[in-house]
Amino acid sequence: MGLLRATALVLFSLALFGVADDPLPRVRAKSDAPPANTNEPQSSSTIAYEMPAVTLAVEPIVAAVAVDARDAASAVAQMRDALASNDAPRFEAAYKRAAELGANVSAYEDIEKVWSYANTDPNGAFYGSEMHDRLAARHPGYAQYIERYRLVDGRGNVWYPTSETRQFLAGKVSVVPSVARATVREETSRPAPRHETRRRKHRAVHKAEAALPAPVVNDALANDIRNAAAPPVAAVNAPQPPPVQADMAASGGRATILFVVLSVIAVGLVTLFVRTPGVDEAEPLRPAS
Amino acid sequence: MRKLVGLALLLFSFAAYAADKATAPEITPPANGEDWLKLSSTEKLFWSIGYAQGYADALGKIDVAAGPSSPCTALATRTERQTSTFGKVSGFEVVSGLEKFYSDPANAQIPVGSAIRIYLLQASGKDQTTIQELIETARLLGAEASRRPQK
Repeated sequence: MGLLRATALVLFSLALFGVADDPLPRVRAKSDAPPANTNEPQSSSTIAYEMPAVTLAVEPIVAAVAVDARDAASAVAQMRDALASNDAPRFEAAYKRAAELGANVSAYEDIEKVWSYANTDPNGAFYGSEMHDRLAARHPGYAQYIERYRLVDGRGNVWYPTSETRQFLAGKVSVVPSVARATVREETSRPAPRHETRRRKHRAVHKAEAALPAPVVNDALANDIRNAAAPPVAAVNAPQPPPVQADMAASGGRATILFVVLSVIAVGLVTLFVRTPGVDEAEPLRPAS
Repeated sequence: MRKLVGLALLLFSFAAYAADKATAPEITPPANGEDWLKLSSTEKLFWSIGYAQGYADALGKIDVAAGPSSPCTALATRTERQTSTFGKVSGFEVVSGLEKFYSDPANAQIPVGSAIRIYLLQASGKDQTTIQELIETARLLGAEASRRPQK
């Protein structure tokens, strides 16, 4: 009986120890981290924080995608379609499937490498001179194309974007991505009046405060996402307040002030000219008596 | 003659106003993944740096403007805790995270603000199940929002 109790005690202690011994991430001391500008890219292996930080691996959220291709041509077609529609998981799966089926995927090799790098490296949106030199040696015209997109950071390092690189490489295999780039777009829809926006934000804050636990995830973020994506229905159906006629704080405020001032001056001048009698209409001067 | 001069002045003021309005630049910030993918990488980077700075400033202002025990402060603290990674990731990393997030077309309708917060939660080590549930919720609501007519 005593042995049984002792065994149970040991097992209980071990279980307690196992529960309490969660694998904790490595914590870096402040003195270990070199000072760095957080807006500059860091290499994957060294993360420079100004404060003690918990360093965790970031895994991409990519669900396994199955490609239903029975022959190489079908797999290549799906790969091209995924490339055109900016679908990384499907492209990756179709690329592997096409290679398995014996298709010649050498033309897509660099695309796959660039995209894979973009999806696995913490700074994957940009790459350095090493990959640039390799691509420049393999693809004529690439160096000239990417030159206009290069970025120089505060330390003088040069970075090139993977997004534009992928676009160039896709053009080499005659695939035009469906996403058209536009640097400056005109606003097509009328922005909400300022007071309306303020009201909606205020309501969202209060709703987040008073929100009940969400059915899917009991997290304030989920509530905030709901509030952000779906503004209250009452706000849509409610009669809209009249729009603000003049917004002096907006970019057009200065022009509006100028317009009002000029209009007042113009109206004043017109009134002056209309009411002032001409020389021929004026009364003749009378000699002072 | 004087009336004509007055009318000319009036017309001139109208013309000046119209010309000034037509040449005023106007850029719309990205609302969701579709908008995000239309930007160049340089635009994405500068937008991310500005967003991060504005986010931090906004949190600070909420804290300053409201009393220490007000609901606003509690909300700000909670939000800051959830997105405390923002001060520690670089603008390059934010762009990379969003590029990765929007490389799945199913996420295209998710608002950029929600995508950033999901990315930051992911980067701070939030469990994958919760992240996936948030993504699924954001996808549904983003799709609903895109179907709703723009006001």
